[in-house]
Amino acid sequence: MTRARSLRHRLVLGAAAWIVVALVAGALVITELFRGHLERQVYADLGHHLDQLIAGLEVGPDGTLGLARQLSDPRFRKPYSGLYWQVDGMQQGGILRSRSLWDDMLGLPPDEIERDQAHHHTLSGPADQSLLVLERTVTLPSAQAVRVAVAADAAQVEGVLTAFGRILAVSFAALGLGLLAAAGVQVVLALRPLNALRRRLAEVRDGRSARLAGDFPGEVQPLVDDLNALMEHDAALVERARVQAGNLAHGLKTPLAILANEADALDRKGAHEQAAVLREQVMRMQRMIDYQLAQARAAAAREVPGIRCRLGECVDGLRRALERLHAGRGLLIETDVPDALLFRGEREDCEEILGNLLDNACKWARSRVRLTADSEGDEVRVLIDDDGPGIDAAARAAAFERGRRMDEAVPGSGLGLAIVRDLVELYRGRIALADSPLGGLRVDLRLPAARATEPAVVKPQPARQGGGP
Amino acid sequence: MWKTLLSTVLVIALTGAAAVRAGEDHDRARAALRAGEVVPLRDILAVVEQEFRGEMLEIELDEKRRRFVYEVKLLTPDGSIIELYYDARTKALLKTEGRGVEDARR
Repeated sequence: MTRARSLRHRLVLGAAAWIVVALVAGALVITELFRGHLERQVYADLGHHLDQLIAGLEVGPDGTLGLARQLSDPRFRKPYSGLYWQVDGMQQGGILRSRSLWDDMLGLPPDEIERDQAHHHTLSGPADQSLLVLERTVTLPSAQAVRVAVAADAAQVEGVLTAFGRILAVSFAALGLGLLAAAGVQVVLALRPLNALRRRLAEVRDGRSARLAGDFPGEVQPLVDDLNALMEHDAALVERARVQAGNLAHGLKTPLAILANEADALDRKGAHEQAAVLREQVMRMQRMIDYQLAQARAAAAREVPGIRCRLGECVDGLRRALERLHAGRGLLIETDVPDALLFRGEREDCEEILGNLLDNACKWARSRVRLTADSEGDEVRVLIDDDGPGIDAAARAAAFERGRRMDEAVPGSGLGLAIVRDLVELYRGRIALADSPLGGLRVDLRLPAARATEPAVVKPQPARQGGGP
Repeated sequence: MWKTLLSTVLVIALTGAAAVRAGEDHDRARAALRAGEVVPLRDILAVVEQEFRGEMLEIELDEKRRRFVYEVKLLTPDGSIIELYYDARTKALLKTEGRGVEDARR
């Protein structure tokens, strides 16, 4: 699952993007609202100071303007304190100034427009402070008009905003991390059915299950149903092909039997040569049918999930049959197969492979044949040893060739080992020949194993006709 | 304290109409600044900040024989109140008063 294609990464990244955008936008909006609130508060305070200043203005008997009493806030007395007032005449600026202005004064811009009401400016003031200024024009009882202004350092607003911004950033960062974690948890929970689906699919692929089991959420269930339908459809197709192959074999059985009878009839009439040819051709046809049936089965077993067979039972049956077949020779057939060993494939194919190999070993053995099996990772490893003459290392590659017979004296069509090789390859297994510790040939066979933990899938047996190996 | 009172009386007696109108030291400060007799207060404050640590409590401008002197009252970090006298034209530190002056120096 690559980073770019992962649904989880995409969802988490998407969530992270909108969380960051929303929180940053939220923080900016909140900061601006708070700044507006703070400035309104500063102007409200300035309004009270302005009222007090205007109330205190009085004109002395000599016509000079004065302040009857000091303003109550001590910051008006402290130089450069950040809180100032000033009274300007219409022609002359700075008739009266707060002590806090000290050797500086407010440079109010000339404005005549809003004479009747208070309005504000932003100015630069003493010591490079940025000032919020509230100003209005009043006409004194002496008919003299003056501009009265109070101002406060904007740094107090900025200071509060900075501290507020720091707290806001920390808390929003924490909130963002929390939201991100919640989004992550949500994505994992939401994608859990997909992970379950992946596990179910793996079970099907491993042959542990024939269909996707379990309930899935409404968004996923249709997909699961479709997949199941597809797999059932595939299985049905393969099954039909197998049934047709079986029917074909069955249909050919009677004609072949008739031909075999004809060969016997020819034999009785003395046409031994023709009879032999006929018999030979009938046997070849029978072998071809067996071979194609085995191939169809193996292909089906590979495609249809959930097929398995118990290796031990298969081997026991074969041993009994072979013991009867070679009863006269005093042959010792030993088998050692653990009960739990499962071959992932059709029982018929298991019998075809092991039957051919065991039969071969029995034909060549002097007195002993031994079959041992064990599991090796995902595979079953089967060793078949005999104490016969064996095969030269140089000649071993030829042993599996179709139609090749190692010894013309021993009866057989030469198709057996070729069938074994094809079947093993169809099941993606491996087969090799080696020297046996018993003195003869060792066949080293590896086949796919099925896991014992899952319940076996019951599969209907197809119509299967035709002879054994 | 009597010196300050005396100087204020002297100032009121001697200075011109502008100072009389309001009679406060910040008006004298502005008048002196405009006459080029003192440097701006912000320059004095910059010097104070450079040389001493502490919170500024109060600033006054005194005039003694046509010589302006800034009197800066500081609350030092260890809680002492000190007074610093600066020549308002040259920014030179003329005199200090109070304990803890040396501790408050940067």
